[in-house]
Amino acid sequence: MNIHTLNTPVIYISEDGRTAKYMGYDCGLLTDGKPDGTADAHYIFGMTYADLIKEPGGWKIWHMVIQRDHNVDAEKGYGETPCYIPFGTDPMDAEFGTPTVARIVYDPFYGWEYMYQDMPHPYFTYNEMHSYGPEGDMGLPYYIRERRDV
Amino acid sequence: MDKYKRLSFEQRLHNAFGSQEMERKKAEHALVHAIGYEREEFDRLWFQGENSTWGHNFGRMVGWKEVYTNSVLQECEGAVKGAFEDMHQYYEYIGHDVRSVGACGGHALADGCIEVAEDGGSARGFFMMPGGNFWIIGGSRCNGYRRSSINWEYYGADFVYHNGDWVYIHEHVCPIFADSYDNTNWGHKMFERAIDDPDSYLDKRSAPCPVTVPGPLSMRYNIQQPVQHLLYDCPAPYLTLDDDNSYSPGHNELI
Repeated sequence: MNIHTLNTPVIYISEDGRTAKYMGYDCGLLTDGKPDGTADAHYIFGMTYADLIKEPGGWKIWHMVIQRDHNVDAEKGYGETPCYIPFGTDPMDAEFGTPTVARIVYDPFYGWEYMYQDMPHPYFTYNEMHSYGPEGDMGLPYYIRERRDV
Repeated sequence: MDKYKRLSFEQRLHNAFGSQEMERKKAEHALVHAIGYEREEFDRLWFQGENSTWGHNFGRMVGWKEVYTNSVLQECEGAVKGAFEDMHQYYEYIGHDVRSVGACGGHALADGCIEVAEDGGSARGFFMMPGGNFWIIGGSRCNGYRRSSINWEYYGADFVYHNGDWVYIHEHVCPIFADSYDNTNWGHKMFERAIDDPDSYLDKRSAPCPVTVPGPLSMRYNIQQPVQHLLYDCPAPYLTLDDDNSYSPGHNELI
């Protein structure tokens, strides 16, 4: 079972009507069946961001970023989770494999500190630098973002 | 259907837009609140007048000055102090945002029920919040491990259409229960608590800040399931914002 329960949506359609930006909070559940006949259950929470584009067939998802705050075993207490979890040690990271564009777009160690900057705001037209795609500034520290804006 | 026949197409469009604006601004409010960005929460999204009110189980703040002082000034002060505590424990946190409370997870909104007044001047919304708050760093406040709370609440909000924008005038929070997100049986804990203190559902905590109207204004979950009054229920179709159609009776003039 893999359920991403998206809630609390913030959506803006560009003034030119060609694209839209989405943000929602994912309170997710995941179960894994194991070869020995047992199963594990996890809670996976985090923000989801997306750029959408209007094509002849309707609105389509263009870019999507799923930020993961935690992946906690259902039988464990959240308070048993260390503050810092090194990248690559989470089973889901290993399952994800090696991405085409390897880049950290979110480090949960610092919480949602860039959420306000990343959330959709009213906009006129699509801007690659402010997108949720690989050219976007998601995950970059503020001093890099400011330099790019200049 | 009669209600809609009385309205022009333009009025219906205005009201539909108001419903969308309320849903989106409720979400923005909940999410920026989760990180402690109180200025982005209150400065942008609120009517700033004598009748702005923010209520909770512990009481109701009345007037923009009281709402802003308690919700923005005091919250920001706590966040910044906490951030510097965290930096002493985690040097890598230095240079990161001191305004953000180092948390993730927030007041997830669900089951929204929104009514826009027939006169188009206000909107009322009721939302459930099946939420969790998660503090990743928490610094000295969590000793190297994460900290969490699971808390169910419901919200009643009144919006007004003011200067061409839909903004909050009232928000009322009704907490149901809260506990850690760990392996706890919060139901049984509350059962035991109710045996020791039958009035515990009233949650007689003193308010954490000065409030004009002291609580308790609502009841938390109790094993005896006492009947709540229905002030904080879903809104019904209504004509205009008044004391019969508001989450904050007595504060519905735009002053």
